[in-house]
Amino acid sequence: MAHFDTETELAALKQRQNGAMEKLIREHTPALLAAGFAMGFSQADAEELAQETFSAFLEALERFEGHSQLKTYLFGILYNKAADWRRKRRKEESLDASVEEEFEKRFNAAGMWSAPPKGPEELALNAEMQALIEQCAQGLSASQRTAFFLKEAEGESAEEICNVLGVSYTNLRVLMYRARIKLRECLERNWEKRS
Amino acid sequence: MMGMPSCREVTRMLAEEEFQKAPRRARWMVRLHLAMCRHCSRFARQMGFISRALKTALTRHPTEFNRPDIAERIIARLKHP
Repeated sequence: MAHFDTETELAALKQRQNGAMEKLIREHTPALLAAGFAMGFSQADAEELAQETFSAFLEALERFEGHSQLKTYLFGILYNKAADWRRKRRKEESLDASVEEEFEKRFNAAGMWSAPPKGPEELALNAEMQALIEQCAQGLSASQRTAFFLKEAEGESAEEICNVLGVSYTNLRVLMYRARIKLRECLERNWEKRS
Repeated sequence: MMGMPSCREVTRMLAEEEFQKAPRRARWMVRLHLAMCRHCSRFARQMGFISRALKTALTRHPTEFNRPDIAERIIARLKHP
């Protein structure tokens, strides 16, 4: 597949050459739709979000200097657009600090388990467990879902994920830590309920 | 981390995914801890399948998002707002 990251193609886009914008959109729409879905948006919203992302990118095209991969740059715009939407819809992100506090209570002063983990133990990831984890993932924040999407689906480096989310590496670690703890707690709760 | 890490430290390393990047001695101590502690060992297995499940969920239908119709709609709307 052809990529847009070459200087010639970027120049074609900046000069508004015929077909350059279409190529950009055709090439990157699938990844932006996937990112929108991963953030928890409906198909219609993901489409609108992708459109707003392209529109913002094209309006401020001169600012893109090609230092980062174009796709990563577009993810950054999409993530910020999504944050604007959430603010407008008054869906504030939970910082999930309480998850960490609750988890801390599972250890005694010496750092040993006082409330050991329960829940599934087998090594095989069966369909039931898969479904349960996906259901629990609905409870993650948009930044946590975006981080997992970029890491697992796009194979982005920690540095690129930090760029998209606009957070430091330390913040990213905390964000992922809280996400995994939250997923595990949810998995344990639902696993115990089911058996 | 000089001696044997505590359960709290082991779970933090596993959930932050810092385990692989840790110095060799620290990794060895975590492995030793996991071999002896069934609670942390269960926690580690759970972290493993949570990661695998998310990867499966996020990469399950790579073609599902290959929607030329949506790309063409976006092109049309951007050309003629």
